[in-house]
Amino acid sequence: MKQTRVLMGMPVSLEVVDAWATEELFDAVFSYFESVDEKFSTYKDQSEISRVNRHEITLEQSSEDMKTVFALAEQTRQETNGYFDIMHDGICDPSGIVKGRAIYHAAEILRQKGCENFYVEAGGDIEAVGKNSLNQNWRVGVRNPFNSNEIVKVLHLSNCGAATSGTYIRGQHIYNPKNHGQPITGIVSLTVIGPNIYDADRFATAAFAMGREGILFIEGLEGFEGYMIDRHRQATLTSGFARYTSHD
Amino acid sequence: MFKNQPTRGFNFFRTVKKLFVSAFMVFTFIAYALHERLISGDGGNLAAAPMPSAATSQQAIPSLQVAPTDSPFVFPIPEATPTAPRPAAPTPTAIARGQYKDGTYTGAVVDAFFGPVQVKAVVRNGKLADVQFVQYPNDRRTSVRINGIAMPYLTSEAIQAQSANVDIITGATLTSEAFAQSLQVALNAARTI
Repeated sequence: MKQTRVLMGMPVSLEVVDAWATEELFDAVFSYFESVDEKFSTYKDQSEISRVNRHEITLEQSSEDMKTVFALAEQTRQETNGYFDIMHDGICDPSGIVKGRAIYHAAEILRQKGCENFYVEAGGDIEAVGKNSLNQNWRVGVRNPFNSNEIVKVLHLSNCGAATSGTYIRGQHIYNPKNHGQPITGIVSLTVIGPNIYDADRFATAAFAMGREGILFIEGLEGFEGYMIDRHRQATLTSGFARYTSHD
Repeated sequence: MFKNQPTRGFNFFRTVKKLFVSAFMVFTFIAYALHERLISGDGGNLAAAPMPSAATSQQAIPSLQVAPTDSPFVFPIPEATPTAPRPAAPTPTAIARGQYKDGTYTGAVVDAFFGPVQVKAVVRNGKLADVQFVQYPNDRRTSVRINGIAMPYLTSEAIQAQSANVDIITGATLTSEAFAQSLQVALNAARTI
């Protein structure tokens, strides 16, 4: 069973292979995404993050969930030598943490309900669990950043997360915190595979902000692999990436 | 003053010895470097790239240890059991269930600033089953210059379109507003047909 809904301003897709999957299960996951959006959307005036940004409430007064996200953002900033930063021009936008974490928790909800074979995808970031309907590892295509109707790589994933950061789909939506106003040029797409989507997503975001050095950062991370595409259509692969491209 | 003379002589001898050993070390290092370079010169196009950047890049790798699988998040997942009452407030009206006719509907082309976005909505059993992209912003640069930056351990390839079937696609986050607009048009078509 597969469903797509538009939540958090992007398509969110679920596929559950386990035959007993119910409509209610899908509703539970989608309403979880809605609750995250209600709280963390910087586009919503009444979201908690918007209230924090307007200084209507302090971080101390905010929910535990909000405090956790800020703590995770700070932890990520330190782990990425400052390349991951949720502060842009005085406004706090924790979406770099929130999205990957929401997918991670959505997958947790499904696991807790007993699902063993499924994926959760939101805006091109994926947590793939178990096997697909053909009892193979999930086949994940890396979209061609120069032509959306094409894929340029097929990954075979099971029990891991894959996230792609890119420049131009939302414009320059990733900032280089160390070079304000400097657009990130040279690389157009960076796909990161990791043990879960939360870590894959935040490191993909930070590594993309590093420019060409980003793929070296991923290479240095144990348990993570990366696929970087530059503007000249040349891809660079980390040393262990090939294990995900061979057939299972 | 004279006291120092014998020691100075001894120091001189030691200095010469040190110089000789250092010279030997430097020579060995250079010989090794040349050897390595010649060896790797045979092994593929990556090594043809300048060595200095390889050395600096290698230093740039931070050795980060992350323990991702057991990094539990402190906050509890909101209880969203099937029996929990759903809020009565209508969530995105366009996506409400059961109000569409089965079929494939193509949305309008919407300018996403970086290029046109157009989506196709697939409705099955009265519900939105899939959203596909008909058009998507493309990078217009066609340069095929191959970069020569040396990257240790990393391999490089020109991207190539694949034909294989896939379950899911990973890509950069979509232009949300243009996406929503095009989808809205597609879903409106699904409703009225």
